[in-house]
Amino acid sequence: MIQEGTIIENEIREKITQVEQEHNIKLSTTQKIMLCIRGPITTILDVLYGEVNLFMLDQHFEKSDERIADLLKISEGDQIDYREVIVHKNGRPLVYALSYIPTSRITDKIMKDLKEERLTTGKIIDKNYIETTRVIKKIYIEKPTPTQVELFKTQEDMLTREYIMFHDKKVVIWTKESYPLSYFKV
Amino acid sequence: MVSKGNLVKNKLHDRIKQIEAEQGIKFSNTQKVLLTIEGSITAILDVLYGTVSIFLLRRHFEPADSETAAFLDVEEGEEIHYREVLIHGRGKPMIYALSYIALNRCKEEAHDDLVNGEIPIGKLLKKYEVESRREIRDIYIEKPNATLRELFKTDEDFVSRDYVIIQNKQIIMRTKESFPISYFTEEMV
Repeated sequence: MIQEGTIIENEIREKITQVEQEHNIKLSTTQKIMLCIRGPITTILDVLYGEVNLFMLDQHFEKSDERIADLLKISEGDQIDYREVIVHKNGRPLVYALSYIPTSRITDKIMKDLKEERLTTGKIIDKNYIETTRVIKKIYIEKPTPTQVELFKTQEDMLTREYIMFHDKKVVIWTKESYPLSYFKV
Repeated sequence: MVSKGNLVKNKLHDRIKQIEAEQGIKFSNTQKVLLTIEGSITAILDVLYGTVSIFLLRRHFEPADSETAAFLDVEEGEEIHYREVLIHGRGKPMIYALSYIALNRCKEEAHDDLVNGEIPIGKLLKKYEVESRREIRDIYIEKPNATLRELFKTDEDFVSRDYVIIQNKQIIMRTKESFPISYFTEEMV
């Protein structure tokens, strides 16, 4: 007979509840899971839709501006890898992802993966056996960018989360994932 | 229309399909999520079912026998912390977890919390800012042992997964999570 237990606090659920209350909406279980998982989102998409595909929208190096430098905790002007991808199934876009990666904090091998193999950042982390901590920083709803309007063919609001991965106590990836609010409802 | 791209390979997805084919069953999406996520299972249960609790069933230290030493990659005889917990939600048991912890590979300040067993592993990793990675080693179906039969009051088959948590390129913990095959069969909405 089990007599007692300890209630597990979940701050991500609190963030989700806050978004629901602010926008007077109810997120689906699938949406909530996609917002709170700390592993690669493609794993969940595979489970839900079968194998998904990745399409690179843009990838280039650029000097960090003040905002990006603050997100990555680097000096303004330090080089970053800008990575914009769409995960899709049979041509139907599922999730848009934008990542900033400080190039000085990654190895040449990872840089090669980022540039040539077009893997998801989650897969690159796994493939290279990188040990990390992952922190979900923000969950929110925002208006779509022109790129997202073009990709998803909709003007509707986007459900978005931002998370960072640390390695050697430094930020190695900042990622933002977005999809239309009506997606993953069933 | 996005017209091209690279297929995202997922070995766990293949393993799930293999079990379904072998057993002639179909896992629900919820079961698939619980079996394949790399992060904290308690966070998912919390989202699915509201507040969940962790119950410590048993804990003790024991020297690693040859089998434990092999799967934790430690020396035989090294002291291992063994802990069994049950995740409870909606007034019933949901998931059983058995962990073998190589305590001397873990941060010293985390030892008390690890031994105490009242905080899920995912929370501990976050609390102590442990940089780590997880490898899901296997997913399978098995008959319940006496403990599982007693806890869940059923003789039905259980779905289990084994995973390891790796820090500084060493396994710090191996965990097996199990639940009855009839659990979590409702589809996610």
